[in-house]
Amino acid sequence: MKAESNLEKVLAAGHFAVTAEIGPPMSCDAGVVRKKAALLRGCADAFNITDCQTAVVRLSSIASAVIVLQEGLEPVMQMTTRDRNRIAIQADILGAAALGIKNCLCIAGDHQSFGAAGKLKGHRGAKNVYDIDSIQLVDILRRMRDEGLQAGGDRLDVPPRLFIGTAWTPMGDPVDFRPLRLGKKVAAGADFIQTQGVYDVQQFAEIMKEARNRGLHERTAILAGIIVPKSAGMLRYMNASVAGVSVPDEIIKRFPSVKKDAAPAEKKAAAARSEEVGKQVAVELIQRVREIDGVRGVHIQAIEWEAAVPEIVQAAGLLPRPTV
Amino acid sequence: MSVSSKVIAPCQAGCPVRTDAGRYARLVAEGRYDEAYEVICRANPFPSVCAHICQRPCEKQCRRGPLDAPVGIRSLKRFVVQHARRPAPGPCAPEPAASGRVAVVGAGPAGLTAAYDLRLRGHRASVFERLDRPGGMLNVIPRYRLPQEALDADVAAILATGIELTCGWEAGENTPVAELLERGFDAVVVATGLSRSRGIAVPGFGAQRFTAAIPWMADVWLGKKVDVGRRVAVIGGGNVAADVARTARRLGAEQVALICLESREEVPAEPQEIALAEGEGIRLLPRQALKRVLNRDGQIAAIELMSVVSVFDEAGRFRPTYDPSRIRTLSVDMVILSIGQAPDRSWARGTAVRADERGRIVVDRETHLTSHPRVFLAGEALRGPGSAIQAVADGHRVAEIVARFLELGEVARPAAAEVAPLDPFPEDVLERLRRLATVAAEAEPFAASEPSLDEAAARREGGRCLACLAGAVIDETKCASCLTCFRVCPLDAVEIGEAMRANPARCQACGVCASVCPAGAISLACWDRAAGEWATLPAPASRETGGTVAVVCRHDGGSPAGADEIVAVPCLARLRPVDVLGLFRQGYRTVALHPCAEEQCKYGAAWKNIESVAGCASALVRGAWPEARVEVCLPAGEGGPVGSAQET
Amino acid sequence: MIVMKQKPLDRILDRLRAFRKVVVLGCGTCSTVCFAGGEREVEELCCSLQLALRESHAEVEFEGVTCKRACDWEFLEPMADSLRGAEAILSLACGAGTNLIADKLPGVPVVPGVDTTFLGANAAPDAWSEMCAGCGDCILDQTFGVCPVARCAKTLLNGPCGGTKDGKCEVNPETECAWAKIVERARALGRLGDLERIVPPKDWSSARDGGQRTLKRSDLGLRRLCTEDLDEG
Repeated sequence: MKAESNLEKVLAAGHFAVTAEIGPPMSCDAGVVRKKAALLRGCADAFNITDCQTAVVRLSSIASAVIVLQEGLEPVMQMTTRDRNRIAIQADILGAAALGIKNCLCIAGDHQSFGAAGKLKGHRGAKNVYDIDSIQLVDILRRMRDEGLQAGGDRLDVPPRLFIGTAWTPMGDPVDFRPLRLGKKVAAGADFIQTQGVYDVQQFAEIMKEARNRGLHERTAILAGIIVPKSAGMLRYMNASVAGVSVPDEIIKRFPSVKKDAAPAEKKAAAARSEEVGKQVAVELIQRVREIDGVRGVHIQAIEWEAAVPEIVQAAGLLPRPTV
Repeated sequence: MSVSSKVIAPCQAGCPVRTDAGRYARLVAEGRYDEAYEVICRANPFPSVCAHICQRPCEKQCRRGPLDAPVGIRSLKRFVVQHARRPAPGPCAPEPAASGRVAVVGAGPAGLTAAYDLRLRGHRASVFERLDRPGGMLNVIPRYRLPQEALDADVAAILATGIELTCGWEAGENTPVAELLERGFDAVVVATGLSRSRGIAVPGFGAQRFTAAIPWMADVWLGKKVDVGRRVAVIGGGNVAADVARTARRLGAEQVALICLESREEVPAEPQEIALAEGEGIRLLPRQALKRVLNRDGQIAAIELMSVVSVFDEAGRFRPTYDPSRIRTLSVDMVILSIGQAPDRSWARGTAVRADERGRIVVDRETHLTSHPRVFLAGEALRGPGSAIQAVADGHRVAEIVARFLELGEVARPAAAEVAPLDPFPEDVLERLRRLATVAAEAEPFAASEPSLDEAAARREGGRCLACLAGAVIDETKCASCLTCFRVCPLDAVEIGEAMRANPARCQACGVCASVCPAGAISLACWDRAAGEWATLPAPASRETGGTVAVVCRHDGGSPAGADEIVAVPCLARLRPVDVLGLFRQGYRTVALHPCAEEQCKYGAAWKNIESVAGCASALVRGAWPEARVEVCLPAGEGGPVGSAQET
Repeated sequence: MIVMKQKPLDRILDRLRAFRKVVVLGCGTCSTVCFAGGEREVEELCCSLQLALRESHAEVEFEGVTCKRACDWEFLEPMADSLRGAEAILSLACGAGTNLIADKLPGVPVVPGVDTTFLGANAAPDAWSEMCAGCGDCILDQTFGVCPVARCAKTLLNGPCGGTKDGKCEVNPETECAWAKIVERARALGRLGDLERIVPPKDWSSARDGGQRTLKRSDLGLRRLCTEDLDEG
């Protein structure tokens, strides 16, 4: 065992793992975190706490993770390389481990120009750091944990024990390079992988085949990303604008469409129906990716819709979560 | 081409006096006629004469020729002498430290040019002429080719410098040249031309009405009573023979035959001259030699012509061979021989000037100096038959040598200023020019005589000049090698080397490079910006409302309505954004750019470049004066809508 | 080449408000080539400034002058008197030149007229792209000639990230994804395997992060010969 986190144990025991996400608030209100934790309790084996996602200031991942710990859930802290240099990162890692956090997802993070895809002001003029990239971060964490060494070479008296994860975009451009890049992440020491949202299961299956050819599925635990769609509009947007996400037409067609000039009541009804369809789609996706050899779990993202997760996990037959 | 050759425009290289033809053509295009006249007169004291009769070796070299037709340089010269103010001949220089008195024998083009040049350098010149009037052989040119006024104007301007002229003076009769030397002239320039006609001794040649071309033509055109037959045979194949034939026709001869040894293809006269002659009903009988004249009662009744087999031998020497078995008889009553001229050398009598065993004057062809240390030879008398402009050139040459002789006491070979014509256009440039350079010729090329151009036609014709060697000049000290000129040149004229260079063999002075160069390193030799077209522009009436200034192309000379002021520039394609800004600086609120219509613009679609200049200028002025406007007013039918405000 | 862009006219005017005699200084090298502050732009700017100030009736004198290269003092020296006599110098040279002018002329306020942005190469007659970030430790051999420090928004050394879309960067859809290019080039050369190696974190101390950088080439032994040297010879 590397960290003896719940997620690690679940995977080690051979269960199909489930992780979900808690998005911290744009405030210092710990209550919001607690409420989301309460909603999701029991639905997953560990809960990602996003780290200033889309480059918008929110309650920090490490602080939110501690709050989540206090609520009795297991957090997956997220660490981006956008905002901190290697010194701050290592210090935060030591702090996280000291506070009882056992899982860390290493990502480069959205560029500061994002600002919630333009919806919020964000901090576009901020100086970004990107001292290291995600793969280098994984490597640093592994050395801290397994060799007790800082990146610069100084010793760590008590090494942090963390279960190291990173993200993977299997269908990202250039597609044929993605398996090789996964290999780098695994070589760097990634214990688990959470992929970008999968909708085109067939395409994902083909890429998983390539990953399996390289033996990567045995060296790391790949959790397929499931983004719960709320509407056809959301799917179309992701298909067009989010890199690495391609949505087959058959899925989009399943959502009800409503005219722009329809009455508000009609729109509300259509929205409600869309949500139902969305949850249904999520359940089916979970079931289908589960059949792919090498996929050892799912990472469910219901953005600002945490309430939908318990229902989906239930319908997918993944409840109750195992105790290990 | 030697390393030290100076490259000049081919028209200039082709002209014996190196007239800067391109320069005056472009000045005409810009409406600057007086300046054009000055350029012409700089090289040539006989502008009016040449405007009518010059054989235009310049046009044969014109680089526009292979494109469509050469620029009508002579037509433009004629336009200038007819429309512009003749510049006063330069004030005579003060007498040099060592000045002298020069006697010029012969008031033809060579002699008068020599006298003129020497006079302008401050020496004193006296001209002695055998005929009763100056002009020499120019007097013998038919009036339908050279109007009297033209000759008179040029001669008068030359004499106005203070040259002493004595007419009716015979050089051969006593020993007047020897006398001139005794009279104290420091130098004598003999420019007596070729006054003797060549004859052929055929049986029967002594009849009346068997005469020679030059004396006969002289009588005709000097207004004396002249004898002409009804059926005239002109023997000879040159331009003079053609003129004689046409003169005979005008005097009433019913049938005129032009008889020459050469075949039609070999005939030395210009093809247009033959065409004109034939057009007037003159018969050309090539490959015929005069065998004998058949007289009856002392009058010419007929001539016998013998077939000519060949004129030149394999080595190209004049060695006619005949076929005596083929004879034809032509019924004529007059024979005029026009088979060439020879010099009259009798002037040398009594002087120390030596002749060789064949009677030819011993002379150094480069210094013009005879065996007498103070006697010089010039013009046809030295060089043999030639054109009027060649005689002028020789007059310039001998004047330079004589001036040096008078001032420094030495006769020196002239410094060899080797010139080489600019290379012809590369084929790919011609190809592109066929698309860019769209203005058609106004005059038929090489027409023997053409109607005079009106002002609009003259400006268009002048605009056809491709500005050889008057194009872009890149200042190496400023150039940053940014490559922009290289990238925008439509003719790939810019070369990348140690420094950027505009290849003059390709550049057409369109000005696009100069307008975009960020280092201000490119100037156009044909556009002197310092002249400042709008330096004298008045400020607009009201500074608040500003006014509209229209910028038009000099080649168009249009006057757009609605503008408070009009500024003419040589081609709007050459404008730079800062030129437009300068107009705003003067207070105008609207600058309206009026490019020429595509078929009139010498650069085809130059208005596209003008639009980008307008765009840049608009962007620049926007920050400083938001109300200011740049408009590109295209002629109807081009690109954008007429009079649209393009960038505001 | 250093690429820069002229500041908007109103910004320049704002900073020049207090001055009555301004020398507008252009530079004949990089600034000229990217059309920011060469002789042409100096002329245009003097004209625009005068035009903009015509209403205020302020008698402001603008003198335009262009040196060959503003980052070498010898090119500025001939105009030093003119520069010292100004109330302010509007420098259209890049930041390097502008800094040098300020260093050499401590008594004269220097106002920048251009924004210096990047080290770039020419992509089209009117376009330049950043190519080098001056990190001081070039690894272009490892990235097949495409610099991930200058051309990847996240300076990834083990890229690409998940944001590549149709070969373009998610930060700016008009920018090519540098890592997509690197992968393509590696593939074309049959060296995709080279990219499997994990590139360790970069030593940024040779980059701007290490502080102002200087270069001294004592090894060249450059010195101005003086007569004493000749006597010795």
